[in-house]
Amino acid sequence: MKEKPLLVIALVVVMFFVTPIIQSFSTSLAFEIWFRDLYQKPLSSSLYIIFSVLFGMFIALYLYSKNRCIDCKTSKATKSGIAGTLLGLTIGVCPACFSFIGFLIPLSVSIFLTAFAPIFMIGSIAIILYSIFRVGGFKSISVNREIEP
Amino acid sequence: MNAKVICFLTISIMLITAILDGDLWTEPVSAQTSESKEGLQVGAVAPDFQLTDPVKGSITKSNFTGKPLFIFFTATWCTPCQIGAQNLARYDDEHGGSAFNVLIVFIDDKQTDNQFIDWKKQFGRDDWYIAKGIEMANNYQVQFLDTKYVFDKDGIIKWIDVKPLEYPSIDPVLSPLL
Repeated sequence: MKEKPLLVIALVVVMFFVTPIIQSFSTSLAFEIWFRDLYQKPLSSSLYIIFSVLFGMFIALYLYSKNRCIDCKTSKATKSGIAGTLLGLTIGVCPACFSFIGFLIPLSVSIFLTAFAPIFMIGSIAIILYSIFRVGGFKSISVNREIEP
Repeated sequence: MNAKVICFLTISIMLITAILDGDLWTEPVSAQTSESKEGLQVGAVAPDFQLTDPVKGSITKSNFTGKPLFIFFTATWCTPCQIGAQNLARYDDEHGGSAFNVLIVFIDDKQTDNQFIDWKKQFGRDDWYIAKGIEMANNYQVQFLDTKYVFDKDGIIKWIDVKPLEYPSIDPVLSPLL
């Protein structure tokens, strides 16, 4: 991550704005909605910012470690990282709003899930943190270089 | 499954969902069919409903006969709905404040009348009707927050939409009915 700080920053920014970017295909109000949400719901917003930062770190780390054997367990970590990202994006934001998950479940269930969206977002953050750990994100570079042949 | 494939499928589904939004879930005013049968499609007679406004008391569909009715299914915490309601309030003001009726139906069971009244003060207008209506939402097959129905003065459905309500999209729907 120290080697590619711009990549990390770019991924964090993309993830932070991914919801309004996708929503902007269907409404010009997408960014107004997004910024008002950030202002009105500080807990959810804080969690989403953490989620975005961790997602950026995870993908950057994944791309960095893809051709290097930092921990040699990247496959499972990648799957769990993607699962965490999907959980955050689908249930952690607003399932009751017009969304992919909203097509699949009744309104009463999606409203129930929306009420607990911050908890799902915390779960998503925990899964991505675990994935970063599995990819070797918490190991120091000097130790890893000794492992390399 | 390969991580790249999962990523690709996820992004594709999300994009397709967003792009199809307008086509699948907006029924235009011009798409009129038979206007005699009760149903939930544009051109049908809207099903009856019974609600209770915390201030104005009992409401039924017949209360709104004679003027177009804009129905908004929402929850007080729904941000896109707040913006949509503000756009509708602006349009309402520009047309004298009594050209059409507005009914806000709240569909989060945990919310209270006081929250609805506060919401109306903040985002709506005094003459708007507000009520909790989970049963009505079920009868009207509401799948998402921000679902909107527009009836003409005879209670015929003229427009159904789930997208956030943009100000420019209101006039083409309501002006032919006013």
